Amino acid sequence: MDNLAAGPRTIRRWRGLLLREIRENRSLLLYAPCLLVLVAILLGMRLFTLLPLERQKAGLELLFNRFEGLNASDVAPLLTSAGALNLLFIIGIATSYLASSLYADRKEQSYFFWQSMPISDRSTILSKVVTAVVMIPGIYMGVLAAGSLMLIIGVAGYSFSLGVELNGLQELFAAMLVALGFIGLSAFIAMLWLLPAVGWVLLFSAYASRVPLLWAIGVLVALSLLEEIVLGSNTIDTWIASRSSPWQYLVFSFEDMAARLLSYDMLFGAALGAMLITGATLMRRFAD
Amino acid sequence: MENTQQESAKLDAKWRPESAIKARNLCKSYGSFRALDGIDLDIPRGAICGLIGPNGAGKTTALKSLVGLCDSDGELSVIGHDPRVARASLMQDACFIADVGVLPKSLRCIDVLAYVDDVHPKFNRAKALRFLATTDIDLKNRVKTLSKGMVTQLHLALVMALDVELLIFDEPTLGLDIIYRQEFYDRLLTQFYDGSQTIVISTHQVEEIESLLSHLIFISHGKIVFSTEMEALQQRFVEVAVAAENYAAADGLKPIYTRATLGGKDYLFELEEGERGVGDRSRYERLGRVSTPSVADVFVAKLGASHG
Repeated sequence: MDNLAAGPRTIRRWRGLLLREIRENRSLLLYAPCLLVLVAILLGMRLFTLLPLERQKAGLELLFNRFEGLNASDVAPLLTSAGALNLLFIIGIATSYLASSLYADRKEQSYFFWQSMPISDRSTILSKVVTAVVMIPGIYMGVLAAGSLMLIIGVAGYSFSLGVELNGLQELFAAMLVALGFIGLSAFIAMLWLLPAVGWVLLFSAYASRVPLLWAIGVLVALSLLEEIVLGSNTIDTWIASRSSPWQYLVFSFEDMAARLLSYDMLFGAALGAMLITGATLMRRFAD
Repeated sequence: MENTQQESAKLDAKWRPESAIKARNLCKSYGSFRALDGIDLDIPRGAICGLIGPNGAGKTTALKSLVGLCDSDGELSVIGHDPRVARASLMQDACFIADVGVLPKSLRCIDVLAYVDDVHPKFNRAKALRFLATTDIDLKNRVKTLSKGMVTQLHLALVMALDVELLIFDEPTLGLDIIYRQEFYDRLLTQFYDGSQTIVISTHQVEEIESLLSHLIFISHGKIVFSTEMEALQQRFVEVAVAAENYAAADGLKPIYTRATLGGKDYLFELEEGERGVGDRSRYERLGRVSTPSVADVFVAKLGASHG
């Protein structure tokens, strides 16, 4: 009976852990994506409406004509690339979240409440990792999808009011869905690719007595300088540079994704990330 | 002598395998500072034990060690678990309130309840809600909008709805007014404690919990300086209100503490082994009015001597 009950109990525990992250970080996890997407849409609309009406109409006709008859998978890479900026937003939100995730509760002393619950440090840290790697991209993509849908409906309605024929609307919509899918997968790949950074920031969040993000960056810069001075090499700089461009994270097909996931570099990064996350777990324990 | 030498807090005469908390030579250092200097604890199940000591005595460190919130050296068993390696499983059967202000401020009260309900297998949500219905707490409010007294009520509601064996409180009523303090202990005793749980409380306000305690431990400079069962305390100490003409005679009996009062002096004596219980106290009665000292008096006597 215990074994039968253990499964649902584990699911319930994880539901509690992940909901805790959302409830505690509403501003960052829910409101920030909404605000970013809303500002991006409003900014785009404002810039567009600055154009004379004739040029607006011509632009919209061009858009719908271009997409008419096109295969969604042919144009999706273009839209996916255009959406790479969203990956930077996701990484920014995740970094900010991770830096405060193990620091804020120590600062306000709710650490003692969380630690008085029957949850191991390992589960606590894993819930932070899952939030950063899966939930933040997932929530952001949900908001982006809703925003994109509203944008398309708005553009279609506005175009219709201007007398523009919506010939390629269906194809545009399909391409947008495919692009959103690939941006979402790319976001997930990006967070896995950045697992060493996730572990590194968590390490400082678990132990730093103040400004954990500054410590995380500062120590990394110091290590890179030390490497250059002592060893005369730039391995750390090169390695960081190889993982810092959002366009590197983009995937345009499932084959692409599988190849990226199974690459040596990804697996090495995941192993290093796992070591750093284990380090953060130990730091959490000794942060008394 | 007792004050200068570390005493073992072995609160039961015999070794009891059912002890809730057993510690041997428990040590914890922060750099060169020894917060716990080899303490021994033996707290039986069902006890309500007061851990009393001045600021910096090591109370919080001792309690944090008991629930695995800080690492320590030495042998330690808390309701059958070693908290240093099995904190999560220990906390299924134990609860710790570090301070009234530690609930997460950004969460709504209902979210705190939902979290505990999800992660704690022994939490009774209906019981917590019944308790909270008797308070002024609006569950939709965030913790940061509650008064300190309300936060305590919320925390107590969570604790009382847990079916656990061991409760550990570190200064649970610090900063609360007298009404909330009294309510806290009243509810703990009447609505939670049924004699089977073990409760360990550290506090400065010893006079408020004196009547609840079954056991008492004094700690100072990271060492246990005195420990006893409350019943034994009454047999072990006498307080005598001595008139001026009897000062010399009273001083001759080697009091452990004296205190000037209006029109005389109160003397506190620790009785010899043979004098305890129903022994002859006539030599104290000759000096003046004999009474049982309060825990606070014994605390000042023991800790004052220890500090001196």
